[in-house]
Amino acid sequence: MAEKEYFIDDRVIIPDWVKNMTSEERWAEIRRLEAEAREEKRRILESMKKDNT
Amino acid sequence: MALELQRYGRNKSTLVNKAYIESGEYRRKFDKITDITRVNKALYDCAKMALIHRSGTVYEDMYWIDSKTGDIILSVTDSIDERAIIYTDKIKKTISKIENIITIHTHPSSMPPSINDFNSCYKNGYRFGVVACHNGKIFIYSSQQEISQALYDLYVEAFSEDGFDEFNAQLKTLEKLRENYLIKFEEVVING
Repeated sequence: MAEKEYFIDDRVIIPDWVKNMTSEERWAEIRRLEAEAREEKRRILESMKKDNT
Repeated sequence: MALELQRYGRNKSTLVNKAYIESGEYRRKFDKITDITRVNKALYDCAKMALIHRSGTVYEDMYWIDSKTGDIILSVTDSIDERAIIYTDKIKKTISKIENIITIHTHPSSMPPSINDFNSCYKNGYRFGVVACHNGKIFIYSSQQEISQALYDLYVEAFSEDGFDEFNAQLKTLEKLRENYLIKFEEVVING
């Protein structure tokens, strides 16, 4: 079956693995993913700087 | 049943206020989106067409617009997937050859731009996207970084548990994501 590429979802369907977490587990995972995002953002910005010089 | 709802526009929660989208106030929102009059007019015309077409349904229309000329490059107005637009091979092929695209699509439940909106904007290199909500709200958004689906879901669930309704849970999620991702978004409002 071909994989569909959905463009838009107006409403959010929260997966069970998120719903089954405790609040503490959820925020611990959020912190971890936030750190990853910050690092990736830093890398992208550095790459943009190099492209502009 | 789904097709019947689409045909007769009976979904009351997604009915468009047609008097409002014909108003001067709604029109003036589009004047603020870009510095090019014909692009703003194209966005306005597409928003009106799409909203009137999909009023009372859970289906979405979408347009791809040249950000310099306002020409409509592509459109999808026959989607039968609820609250989604599927990228066909034709769409992918067409947009792969063109730069400087602005997209506009409708949100039947009038939610803010979704994670899929941002990630599609990033992956396809769009200049930015516009969401025209059935309740008359307009959002513009852009992205230079792919957002984690897991993080998005975690935030929405956390804010929902804190008592926020769906719209505000999504909005607060976007505000949190903006702190750590290269994304921009705003609701287009008219002051005064």
